[in-house]
Amino acid sequence: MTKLRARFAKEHALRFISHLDLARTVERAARRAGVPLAMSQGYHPHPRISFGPALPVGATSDSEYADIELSAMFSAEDFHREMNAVLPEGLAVLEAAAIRAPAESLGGLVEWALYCLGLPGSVSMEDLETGVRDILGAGEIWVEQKAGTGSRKVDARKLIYSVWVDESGERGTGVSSGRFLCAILGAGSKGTFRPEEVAALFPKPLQLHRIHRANLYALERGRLVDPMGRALSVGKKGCDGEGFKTEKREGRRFPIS
Amino acid sequence: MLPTSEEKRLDAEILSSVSRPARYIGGEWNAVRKPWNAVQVRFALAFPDVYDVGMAHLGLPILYDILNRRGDALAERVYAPWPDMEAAMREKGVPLLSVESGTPVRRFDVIGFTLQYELSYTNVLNMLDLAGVPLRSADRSASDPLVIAGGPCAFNPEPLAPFVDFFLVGDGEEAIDEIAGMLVGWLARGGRSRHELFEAAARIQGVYAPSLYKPVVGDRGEFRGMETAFSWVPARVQKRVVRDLDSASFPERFIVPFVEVVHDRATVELLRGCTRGCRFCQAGMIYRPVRERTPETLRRQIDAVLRATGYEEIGLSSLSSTDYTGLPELLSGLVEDLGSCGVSLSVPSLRADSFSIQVAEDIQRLRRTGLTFAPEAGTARLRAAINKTLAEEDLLGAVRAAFQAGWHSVKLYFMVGLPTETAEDVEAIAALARKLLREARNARFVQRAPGGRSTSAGSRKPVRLGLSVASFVPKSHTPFQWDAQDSIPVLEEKLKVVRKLAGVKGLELSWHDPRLSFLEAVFARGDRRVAEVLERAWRLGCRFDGWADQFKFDPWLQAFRECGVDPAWYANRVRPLDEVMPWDHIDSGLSRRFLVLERARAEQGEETPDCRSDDCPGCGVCPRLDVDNQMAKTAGRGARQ
Repeated sequence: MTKLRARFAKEHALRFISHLDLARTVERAARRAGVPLAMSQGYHPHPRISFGPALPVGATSDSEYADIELSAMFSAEDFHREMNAVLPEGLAVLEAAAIRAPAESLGGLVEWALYCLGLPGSVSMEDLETGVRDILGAGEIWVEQKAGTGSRKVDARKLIYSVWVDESGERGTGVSSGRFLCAILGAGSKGTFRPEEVAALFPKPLQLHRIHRANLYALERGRLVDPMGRALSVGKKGCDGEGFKTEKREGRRFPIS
Repeated sequence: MLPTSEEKRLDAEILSSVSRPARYIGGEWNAVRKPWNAVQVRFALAFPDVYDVGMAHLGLPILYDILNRRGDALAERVYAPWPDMEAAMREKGVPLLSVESGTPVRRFDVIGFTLQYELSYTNVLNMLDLAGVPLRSADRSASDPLVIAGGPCAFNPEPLAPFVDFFLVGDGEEAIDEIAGMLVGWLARGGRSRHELFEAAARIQGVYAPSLYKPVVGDRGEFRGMETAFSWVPARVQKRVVRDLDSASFPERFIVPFVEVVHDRATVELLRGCTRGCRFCQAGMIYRPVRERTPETLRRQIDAVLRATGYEEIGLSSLSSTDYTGLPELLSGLVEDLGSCGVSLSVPSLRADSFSIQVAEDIQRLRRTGLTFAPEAGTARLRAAINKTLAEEDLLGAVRAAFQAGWHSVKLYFMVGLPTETAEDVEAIAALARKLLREARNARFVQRAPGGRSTSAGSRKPVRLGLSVASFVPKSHTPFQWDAQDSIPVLEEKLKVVRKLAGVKGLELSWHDPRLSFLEAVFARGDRRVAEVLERAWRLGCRFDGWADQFKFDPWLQAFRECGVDPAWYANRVRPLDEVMPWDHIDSGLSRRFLVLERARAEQGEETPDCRSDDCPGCGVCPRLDVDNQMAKTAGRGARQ
């Protein structure tokens, strides 16, 4: 049967709901919207909805992806419209598209996440640039990562696709002053690197005022491609076409300073 | 009284530092936010426990819905912040805030607490304190919110009397409207005189304003009853009863929480009240008479609730669901309505008897949820003494049926310390548990395939029996209100007998801490003197006493000592039949004669039949309150016997 892939934004106070909370909320909204959900078989049937990698509680996101299996026809346009009518404030469908089975699952597909990280104004540009240069120039960066009850050493460099400073903070962020560190970090089965871990790699560890996950990517023939099939071009000075979609859409400011 | 911008709010820093921050953010689907200035009276409906627990409660959304339907009122919710949040709020000077708009609770005109459990009383005081509202009614002025309370614990309101301006005793649906109307009038007149307010409130049936009642104490310090402040103040406050539950207001736009809460589902109320007459059960006494909703109304409500919420589970709430006369019709209707959409049905409070087999099978045609039975006692003799009329064969039959139908887990509730209990009765709990476990295992071998489907997926799971053992707590307005609770050491000995079952494969054992049951007993039958202990214990840091990981017993003992109050005098003493009880001025409709007679019958091991199917045992509620049992169906009852 048909499957829809939807991209959600999670913002404002809803950044404090967990990944599981999000899944429940989307599922219940889909029922309210009258989306014909395909159910699993067995003693505890549940809707066949699968989500991309979990977002840390407290982070905002334009990249909450979900694949929704349908039991009857329901167009992506209807999904987009009907869901947005019944989603609580702080959650919204940004886009939706029908995907052809068999498509690779979000879990199998996603390898990288683009983060925009808000920094305090006191951080000097020089420190930032030095830090970025050191990270990108390093052949390998060995760090300890928690693994279950213990920890293990990983090469962080392999989990950092790119990192750069974005001074055009006003672009879509609603914040006219302040700098952003942008980072494309491992976010899939091959390894995960968290924004806080990048912040800790700087000579003077950075304090992150906010964490925003802009998009998710797979690496296809050397290009980063998001789950909707759009390629991202990353240059020396960053990337185009990504940022704070939700803020642009609504013209809102960050809710909590 | 607009919230001002300089007031401290919950900011990202605080929210990032606490566990489960989504408890505090509001914004849930169906939460109501009305403009502050568009109404005349503003209620903060308060649940004195954490959000995840409070959201499971049905009474608060009923009142929330009724108040928010009024053009002149608004209602928002407030819950007890978890200790980590409380610490952060106190450190940053953030007062208690409403969930919906983050407005400081002290700016509301009314704080209305729902009292479900005695061990939440320290949270009531803590919430008032966090709100910046003086704890004692006498210390509050016209600029402070009015503090009111209702719920089952309002049937013995005395332990909270100094802190609460007035209580509402009984059903709230109609009374809350009258209270809101009365307050609109009082506020329009300037809202200055609290006495004028209490007097207006006391004229509403079901309202008890403690300041209009003064305890009379005899020469030896014994309680002799209440003296009323004015001649027109009723000597006894009669509980409110909604006569026609079928047409009573019921919320369809249930609030859908983000975080997983206890009973994370929509709920409809099948019926209110129970006349089974279990002698330990306060709910079975104070919610009389029985009032059922019709299956048609319930199907309509369920449909509306599911549409408005998107919930995947619907709970059928009542004190005893299998007693609902419309249940067969309702369930077959629901199988039709819900069969294809993956909505599951939860029917708590099933009686373990033959009828349950049919119900269980109906339910599992939708989707399976937990099954719970409450035999309460291990022997037929003790079950007769507490009037829990349940034959062992029926219990075995119900468990067998459940496992044959594919359930792999059933929960059982028992109690120790019941009046007339002997060592043999306690031993029998363990024996019965083993017997039920055997029955459950055997049932697996003769399993049928329901609906023609293979049950192999379910049957591979090992059989599990959950066994939950509580200690008896004597409650007001019950035939056991004069009885003693066993002391903590005695309860511990009895629990030890049951705990021998620990390690038996397939049995999951849990028991209540007897120290909690002891405190519950003190406050369930306490008077105004234990109010002092309550405040002292709160000052010593007691909060969330019902939570095993938060409960601290030593400060409680210190508080009793410092206040010169002997808790055992309240909990562990048999009270003479002629003793004046602290709740004698609260009229639940039950006649004293009935309670005394029921107690005597307990001692004789005599059962009292249910007035729905048998003669009237004369509890007094119907004639006294001019009400009747109201059944959905009168025909077809034979099929259930």
